[in-house]
Amino acid sequence: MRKRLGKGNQRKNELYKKLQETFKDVTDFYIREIPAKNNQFFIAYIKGLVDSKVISEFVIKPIMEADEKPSIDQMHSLTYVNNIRLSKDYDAITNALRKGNSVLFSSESDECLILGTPGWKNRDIREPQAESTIRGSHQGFIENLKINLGLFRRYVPDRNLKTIQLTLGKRSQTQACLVFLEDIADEDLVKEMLKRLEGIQIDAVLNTGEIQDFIEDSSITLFPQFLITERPDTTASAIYQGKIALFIDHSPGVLIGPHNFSSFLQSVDDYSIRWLPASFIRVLRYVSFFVAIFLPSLYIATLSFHYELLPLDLIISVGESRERVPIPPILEAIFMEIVIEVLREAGLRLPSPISQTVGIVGGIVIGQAAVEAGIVSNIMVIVVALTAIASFIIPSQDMSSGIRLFRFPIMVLAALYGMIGVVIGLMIIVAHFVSLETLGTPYSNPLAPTRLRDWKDFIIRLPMQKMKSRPTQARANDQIRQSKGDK
Amino acid sequence: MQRPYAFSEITNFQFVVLIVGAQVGIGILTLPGEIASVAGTSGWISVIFAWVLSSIASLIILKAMSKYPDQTIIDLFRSIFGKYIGSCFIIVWLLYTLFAAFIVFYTTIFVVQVWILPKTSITGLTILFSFPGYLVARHSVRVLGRYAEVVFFLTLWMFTFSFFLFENTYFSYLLPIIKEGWMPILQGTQKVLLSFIGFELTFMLYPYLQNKKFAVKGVIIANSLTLGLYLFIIFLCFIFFSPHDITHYKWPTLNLLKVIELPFIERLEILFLSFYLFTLSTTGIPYFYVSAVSLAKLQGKQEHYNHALFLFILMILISLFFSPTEKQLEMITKYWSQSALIISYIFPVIFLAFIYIYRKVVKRR
Repeated sequence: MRKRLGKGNQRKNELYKKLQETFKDVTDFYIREIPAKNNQFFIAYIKGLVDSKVISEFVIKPIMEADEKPSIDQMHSLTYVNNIRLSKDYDAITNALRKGNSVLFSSESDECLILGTPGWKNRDIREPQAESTIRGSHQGFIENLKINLGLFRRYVPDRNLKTIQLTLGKRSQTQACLVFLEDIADEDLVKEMLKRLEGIQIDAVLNTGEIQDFIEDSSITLFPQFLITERPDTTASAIYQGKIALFIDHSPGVLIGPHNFSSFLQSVDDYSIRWLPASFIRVLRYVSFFVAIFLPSLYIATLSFHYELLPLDLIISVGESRERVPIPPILEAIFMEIVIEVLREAGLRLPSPISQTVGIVGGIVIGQAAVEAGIVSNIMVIVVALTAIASFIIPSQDMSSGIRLFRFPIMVLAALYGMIGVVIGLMIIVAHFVSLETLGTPYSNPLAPTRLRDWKDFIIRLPMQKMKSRPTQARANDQIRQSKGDK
Repeated sequence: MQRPYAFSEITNFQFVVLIVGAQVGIGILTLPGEIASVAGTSGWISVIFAWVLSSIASLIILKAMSKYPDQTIIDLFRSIFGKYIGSCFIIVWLLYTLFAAFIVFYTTIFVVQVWILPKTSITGLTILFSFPGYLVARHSVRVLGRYAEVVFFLTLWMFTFSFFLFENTYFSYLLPIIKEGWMPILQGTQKVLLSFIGFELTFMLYPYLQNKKFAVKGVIIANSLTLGLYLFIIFLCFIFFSPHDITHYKWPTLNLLKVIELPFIERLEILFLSFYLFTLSTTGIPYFYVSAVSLAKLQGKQEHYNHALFLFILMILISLFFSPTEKQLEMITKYWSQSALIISYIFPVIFLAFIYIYRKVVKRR
């Protein structure tokens, strides 16, 4: 607590004392005294949250230079700060201070001016690392709600765009913003979303990911039900489909729902390249999805139960590679899968030059050495490598890390029941998959309920001019995207 | 009046695949052999007869149910016959569906044991199959419908392998048509009627159907799809195996697949039968669902997931103490199939007549 006391201590009014009392033991709180003609002004702020340049140039300077004795009311027209309000409410004043505003008051009046002078360092706008594209825009959200909204609004100048302001977290008072197109988004979905958000009773919200846990329909699942993206164009495209987006202050991730399974396997680049290559990549993703889940378990099932499935030549070559391996396929597979998960996590947290080393040491050295030492077979190394690469191709980080976990229980099923176990594993996934909902809409749409109209943008992507209607997921009110006349 | 089942409406396509899924099951594996032994190579005519009968029965069910579009058969039993007699009917319906579920469950286990996993215990397989069964059966019809849709698309690829079979086929096996007169064909029809069972689920599904106008078309399409599939498999078996050979196989459909060998994969029937579990699941799970709902309604409960859990635990407990031999299983199936024929083909007629009389009596009052 640093005081810049003037001579006339008696001139400090009630508010000054109260503020000093409230912000006792808060070292970054300052009250600066501004001597003006006949009148004593004080400006209170929390350093680090405010832009000192704005305060000195646009608040202090005009007061100093004023000829007359300005009152608080007159200060309205004297300061150059653009966001000002008068207030008497003490709670509002202290809250405003904590959010980066400064408070101007004089010794003569009870009222004070709350000046919007927040200023802190923001990160530059860069391409989000986890969602980079080749052709799409290269802008990503940052940690500032207002800037994020601005980035997004450039894509959606529609007059029906609504942004509902929310405050989340009892202590953190995190600003959030629910964004949707009023004439397209389904009213019930918006209501449902608001209801769920209002039900959150937590002290602090720091990240979008935390919100997800509170509002998703089912938590006991490996499938993500909301998309968290850092891309303005992805957000805009979802909004135009009638979906709802939740922006949260100091988090670059924007939460979008309702989002179904097939949307998680789409990426922005699918629409920025021509439809045939885009479709090919889509198909690849679906194949990889199954490879990532089932390849190790198929290996286990075939080797421990159904080697008669394979023709003789193949059996011999597989047998040769497993000749020196003493442990059963299931242990071999679980061991290698865990090794690769560890490598992946180790590489993720390290600075990139070191993580490359980890990759080389882990992948090549351990893999090759393990084979030579006779702990695992060559084919197992190939299988594990393929599964890992297949899981990397899934565009959504959430989905990819979710499905990686599916393969462990299915590997156990395969070891116990062979091919039957693998198929039952798939059946359990399907059974679980169809029972999932996101914001009350079916997660398995458009596969089940089958909506053939949406299949234009499902496993393959047809040319844009064929997509005349909005996807059904968000139950958009206005179904038409392209009217019949124009192309 | 608020429609009680609006929360779980099913689409037209879901309605169709649910019925097809319930119809196509174990039957398809054994059917070609069974009708060949009764009706010879003209057995396919029996299938068409059975299709006509099952379509008529389905239409009668729809006619009866359309008078009360917001009630399932379980609700109807109570609201028409009163609490006590209604409950008796529900118990009969419960036993019927429970036995259907039981038979599908155990026949599946039996086939799997014979063809793929001879050393795995019945209890082990029961526990395994209970997981997906419970996960679907605990939900509403809507989820059952979605499940049936996914299974429909997942199993479509299985047809592609039939192209490998057409090399060694002889169409002359089919001739002469109707060589032994009409009697064997009519006897065969009786066998095929069983394979069409599953359409009686319309009793349960109709109130959930979103677009009631589609119902008539829906059951006809469903029955016809089943007919098409049966005819396809039967023709394939008949032109592949000689008329004499086919009667020796218990599961001719699986024997067909044994013949196929691809450069990278042998014993295709293992892969096939494993995947066929999906089709079998859409036969068994709806019956489990209906039994669980009946049980819940008997207790006056709205939610049925606890009852579904109970039924699957019951299955696991049964498997601990009772492992049916092939003979026993056939016996149970025989008794059940007689009651199934009555419930699916005769009961709808009586029920429709009763409803007509009942409505007249009520109106007069």
